[in-house]
Parts: sequence; structure tokens; C-alpha cells
Amino acid sequence: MTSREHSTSSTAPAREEVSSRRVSFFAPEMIQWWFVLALVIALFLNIGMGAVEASPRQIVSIISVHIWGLLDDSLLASPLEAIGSWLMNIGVVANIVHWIDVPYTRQIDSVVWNIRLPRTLLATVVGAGLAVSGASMQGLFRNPLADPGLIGVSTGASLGAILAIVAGLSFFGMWTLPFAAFLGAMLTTLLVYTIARHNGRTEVVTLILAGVAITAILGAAIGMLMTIATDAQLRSITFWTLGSLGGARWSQVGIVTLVTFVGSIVCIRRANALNLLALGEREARHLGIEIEQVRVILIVAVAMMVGSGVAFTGTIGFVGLVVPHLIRLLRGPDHHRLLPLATIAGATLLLFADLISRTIAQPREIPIGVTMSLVGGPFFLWLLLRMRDRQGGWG
Amino acid sequence: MTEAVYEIRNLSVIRGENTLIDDISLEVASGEVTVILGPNGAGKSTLVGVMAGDIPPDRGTVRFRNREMREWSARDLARQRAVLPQSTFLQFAFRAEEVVAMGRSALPPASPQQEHEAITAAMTHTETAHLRERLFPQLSGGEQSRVSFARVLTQSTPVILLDEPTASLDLRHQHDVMTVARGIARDGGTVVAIVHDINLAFTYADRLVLMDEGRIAAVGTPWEVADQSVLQQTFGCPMVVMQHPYLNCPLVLSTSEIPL
Repeated sequence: MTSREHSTSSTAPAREEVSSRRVSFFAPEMIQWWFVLALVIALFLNIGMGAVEASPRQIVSIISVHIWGLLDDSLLASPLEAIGSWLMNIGVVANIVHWIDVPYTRQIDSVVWNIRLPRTLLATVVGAGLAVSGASMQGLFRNPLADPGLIGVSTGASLGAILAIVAGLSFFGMWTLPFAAFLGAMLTTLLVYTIARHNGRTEVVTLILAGVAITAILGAAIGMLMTIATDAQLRSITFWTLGSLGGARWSQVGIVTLVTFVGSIVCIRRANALNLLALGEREARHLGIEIEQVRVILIVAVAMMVGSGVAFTGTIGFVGLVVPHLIRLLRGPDHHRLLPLATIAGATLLLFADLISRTIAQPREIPIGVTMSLVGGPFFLWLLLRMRDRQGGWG
Repeated sequence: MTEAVYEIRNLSVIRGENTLIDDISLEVASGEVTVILGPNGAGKSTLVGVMAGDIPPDRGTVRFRNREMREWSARDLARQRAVLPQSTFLQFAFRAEEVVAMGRSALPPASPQQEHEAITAAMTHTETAHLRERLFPQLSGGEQSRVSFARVLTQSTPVILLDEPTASLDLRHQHDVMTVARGIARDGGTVVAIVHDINLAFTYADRLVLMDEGRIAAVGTPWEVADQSVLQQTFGCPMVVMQHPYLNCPLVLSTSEIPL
């Protein structure tokens, strides 16, 4: 798999001649830079906006002071200081540092570093993970409607979390709920996959339908749990089901980032297999792909990414469905481009959704799941119509 | 006669109550175009599926290049044989050129220049170069079929299996595809093709396998297989076999009833 990154980029020489001309920023080839730019803007807006406002310069200043502070305790401190003072001798660097170094209150510092930054980073990695998972599932199942929910990850996580809430479990303290959700996600995926597997092969349609059936059964279980839950429990169930990025902590960010990073790399490395799968499973096998192996790897990667995300934020729909379609519309279906772009676009989309959630009805907060559906639904419809005009429907 | 590429012994494929392939033994040699001929449901695609490595035999053995079929890894097989499916439903709107490039997936890495040349050559051979930038799902059935054939060619394997390569093509492109196939065989390759047009089969086949109800009804050179009574019985319609006026092969005319 590793050696074959170039199968679809093999037409490079033809296109390089074209791109040696000056390319306008608005050309489709530049799309990754739009997304990067949008992501950076979204990051600053998310960190800066709210009841307490922080300017971009303040944000940069706060972050660098904290990172410097972390480094100060390490063994690197003195060499870094040497490098630092050497760099400060360079005029430009000193100017930049002075420009960034603006005053801010302790309150701003605390809000930015302890609340906004972890929340923003959590939204970034969860959005990236959901989008790359959705793209991988759509490719793997050769189905434009596929999203991580299809193999029961989300419902499994919900059942785990709700079970923990209703049973009043607290064996891991604040980690109990995420742990139960993650366990639920994993067990459900395993169950769906085991049902669909037969004689060492997996029938995709069986897998999808098994996912539907298991989702229905788990949904019933959730319904039953909700009828026996107390009012207080019901409230936290609702809160969890609708999703929220509030209360994000640095420790959570660390875990989800690690899982999402590894998971995304795993998916992106299978880009070529996903491309070939568009031809059909038999055809992909004819072209040298061990389908079953790719399938297990991707399902595990997706279950880990979505499971860990959902565990901390509750269920967030639409990112995994909408983002891959948007990128295909803008940049074509090649997974070598689609998957990396999906991570950036997914992060950006979730950041903007969370920004709306937090700020539109201040001081109240709208659940992120609600915002996502509110924004994602119409957007998806628009996409659907665009797609129909452009290529006569989902190709 | 060179070495046998495929050695099939007592092969049976059973699906529930139905025996799709019933105790077939067959050898396929390199340097030849082997055409599989027969009515619908005769088991032609199943046989090609077994030879492609898609369908494991329920009974009997299939050896490919002196190794049991199931011992081959997907990657190694992909470097030895390419398969043209009856039709391709492409899930996402890749461009024709990207689809052709997919054929090179299992090959050892080559420079972008070489890749580009291989793709261009295959697309020129199949007269699809002008379709490069078009989206595959928007092409006509015949164009899709030729682009898929180009994909098979870029895989540059010694063995190619073609499941009805000419089904959706116009007359000239039917001959083009079969000529390319024969060229591959003349260069020492192995071609196995399912063809429905009996005269196209007789024109291009070095060896014919006539299948009926999961069994081999006749096998041999076109003249050996062109037995009027066997053909009539297999296809269930009256036929006349005669000498082709220009080529050294049989010509078959069929009707729904024989005028007397």
C-alpha cells in the first residue's frame, strides 16, 4: 500500500505544465489554502469571541507565554533562552515579538487558556476526525450516504453513556461517562462486524443492514432507559445526546488528538485502496487490494476516532456526511486529496458551528448537535442540488 | 504449444441447489486467444470468475502458473492477470484518466513520466485519449467499456480475462478490441474472453470453449468446434455453418426457423 501513493497522481506532468502559470487564489487547485485560511480564522474567532473578548494579538501572546512557561521547567530551558536572546537580536523577530506582546487581564488569560483553547482544540480534532471518518466510510462502503453512524458507533456510544448516567456509575470519576461511551461504541462496532462476517468475508450490504438493525435495537434500549430515568438524569441524557463541546479539558484534548491523529494517518494511507474500491470490490481485488484487511483496519480506525470524539462531546451529526461531499464537489473524488482536505474542512465546519452555538443566544448555549443539523441540513440540500446540476446526481 | 497458464481439474461451483459449473477440466495456454462461447446461464462468467480468483472452487482444483489459486496474494495476482468486468459501476465521479491510472496500482512504482506514457499508450490503443478529462459516469456504455479496457491494458499483465469486452461496442470497436487482444496473445500473453457474437468468436479465437449448462460442450480450434449439430443443440436455434468468404474460419448464420 505504501509504495503506491502515485497511482492517480501519475498524470502529474501534464498538469504541472498548467500550474506553472500563475494560479489565482480562487482557482480550484488553491482550495486547500482557502480551507487553511478559513481554519485559522475560525480558530481565532472561537478563542476570541464570547462574553470575554480577546484580540488575536492577545491570543497569540497568551499562548506563547504559556508555552514558554511550560518549556521553562524543562531541560531545554537554558539552550532555548540562548536561542531566544540570539533571535531577539534580529530586528524583525524583535519587532514581531513586541507587536504581539500586548497587555491582557488575568481574567482573559484564564478564559482563553483554561476554557476557550481546550474547547476550540477539541472542536478542531473532533471535526477533523468525524469528517475523515465519514469520507473513509463512504469510500469503503461505496455508498454516498454512509457515515460513521452506519456501523453503530454513535448509537453504541450513546447507549454506553446513557447506561452510565441511569445506573449512576462513577467508577472512573469524571472519566466514567466517556469511558462508558467509548466502550459502547467499540462493542457495537464489533457486534455489527461479527454479524456481517461469514466465512472470512464480509458482505457490505449485510454489514450496513446489520448496522441498521443493531442501531434500532440499541435505540429501543435507550428509549427504555429514558423512561426509567429520573428527571435530573433525563436532563443530562438530553444534554449528552444533543452534543456539547462545553467543559472541554486539556486532558481530553490530548487523548482525542492522539487518537484522531493516528486514525487519520491510517485512513490517509489507505487512500489508494479507497480509490480502487470505487470501481467495485471485485475490481479492487483484481487490482491487488486485500479488501478484508483494508476493511478491518479502516473500521477500527473510524470506530476509535468517532468513539473517542463522541465520548467527550456527545453525538454530533452531519459533519461526516456533508464535508466529504463538499470536497468531492470542489476538488474531485481522489481520496489522496479528499481525506487530508476533509480533516481541515471538518475542523473548520465544527468550529464555526460551535461558535454559533456559543454566541447566537448568549448567555445561553445551543447544543452543538442542534446547530450542526440546523446549519448542515440546508447546506446539504444546497449541495444536493448543486451536485444534480453538475453531474446529474451522485455519481 | 507452450506451458499451461491455467490447469483446471474437475472444477465444480455450486450455489445452493444450482450447479453453476459441473465438473469442468480445462487447460489454457499462453500465446493464444481462448474464447468462451455459450448461451446465457451456461456458466461462462462463473468460469472466468474462478480464473480471476474471485470465486473459490467448491470441488476440484484450479492452478494458475503452477500454483493453487488460493495461494496467490491479491498483490501477486494483480501483477499476473487483469480482469475486464462486464460493466463497471463507478461509485464516485473520477475522470476517465484517473480510472485508467488505477490499473497501475499493483505495479512497482515508476516515474511520473513512465506512468504518464503507459496511460497515454493504453488510452491511444483503445481510442479513448480524447475522453481523458471527462467524468467516467457521464460516458456512454461503449466509452466506459473502452476506458475500462484501457485500465486493463495499463495493468500490463501477461494474462488478461475479458468478460464480454465487446458487448456494448459498435462494430469497428469490437474488431479493435479483439485485435488488441490478439496482439497481446501474439506477443506471448494469454487472453481469455467471453464473446457472445459467434462470428466474432470464430474470427479471433485460437481456441474455443463452447459451454452449455455448466459443462464444456466442445473445445478446440474454431473449425473443430463449428459442428452444426453441436452448435444447434447448444444454442437451441437452427444454424448453418459455412466457410467465411475472406477468412480461413467458419461463418455461422442463424435464424429462428430453417426455411425449406
